[in-house]
Amino acid sequence: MRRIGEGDANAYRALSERHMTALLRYATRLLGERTEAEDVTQEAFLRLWTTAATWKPDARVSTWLHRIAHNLCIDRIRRRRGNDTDTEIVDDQHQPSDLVMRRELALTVEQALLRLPERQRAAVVLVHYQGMTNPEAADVIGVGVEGVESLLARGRGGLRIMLAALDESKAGAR
Amino acid sequence: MTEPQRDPLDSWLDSAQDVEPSAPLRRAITEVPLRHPRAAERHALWPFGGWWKVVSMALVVCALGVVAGVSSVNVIDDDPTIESDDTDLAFAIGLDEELAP
Repeated sequence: MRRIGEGDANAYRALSERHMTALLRYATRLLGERTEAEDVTQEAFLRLWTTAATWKPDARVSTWLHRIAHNLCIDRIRRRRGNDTDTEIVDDQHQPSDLVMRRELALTVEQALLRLPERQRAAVVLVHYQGMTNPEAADVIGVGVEGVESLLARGRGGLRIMLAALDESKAGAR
Repeated sequence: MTEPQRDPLDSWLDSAQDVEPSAPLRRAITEVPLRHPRAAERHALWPFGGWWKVVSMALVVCALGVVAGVSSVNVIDDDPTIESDDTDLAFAIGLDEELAP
């Protein structure tokens, strides 16, 4: 970060290569929309480049980048609240059945995550998918460690209910 | 030893698909240094930092001016009853001129 702060573009490129994928995945899972997630990822790296000189090492770079992306995602979610945000359903009719099943399952998980309140979703995504510890996730979301534990428990509880409902509907269909 | 059974919820969550950055996104992110001026480059044009630094520096200069002004009042004293070495000298010169033939 010190080198990026001094204007070293190569250091910036190395760091962006290291964190780009994780940040895009986080934004995609939080927003449920690829194009917006790409905008957020780009904006986060622009902020990294323009503010690196004033960066203070009070957190890991990865946590700091996730915090920026998180705040940008929450802004977008709040802005579009009230609009129709239905996730696009992909027509898989002509794909092989195994692929269709896997795609359907993936889509179900994505839609279940999107049904969670945004902070619970963020806690689940940060800990489960981004591999963060509870204190790191708390730092990103801007709550205490106990707060993130509560969000995680409620989020996982909500997902468990959705998973059970899905199993029941599958059993009923058979 | 048997491995602890994994929570079905975690396995279910793992079935979500991962996205990869597209080529245009990669390019846009790596080109950020080319398209946006660095803070360090702006610093070369305006080396005084943020506006608050300029304002605080101006305030410090003003405060120093006030302190210097207040303390200099004691040096320039208009009280005619106080005689300094300069006034003795002035009187001495005046007296010599009057005593001269």
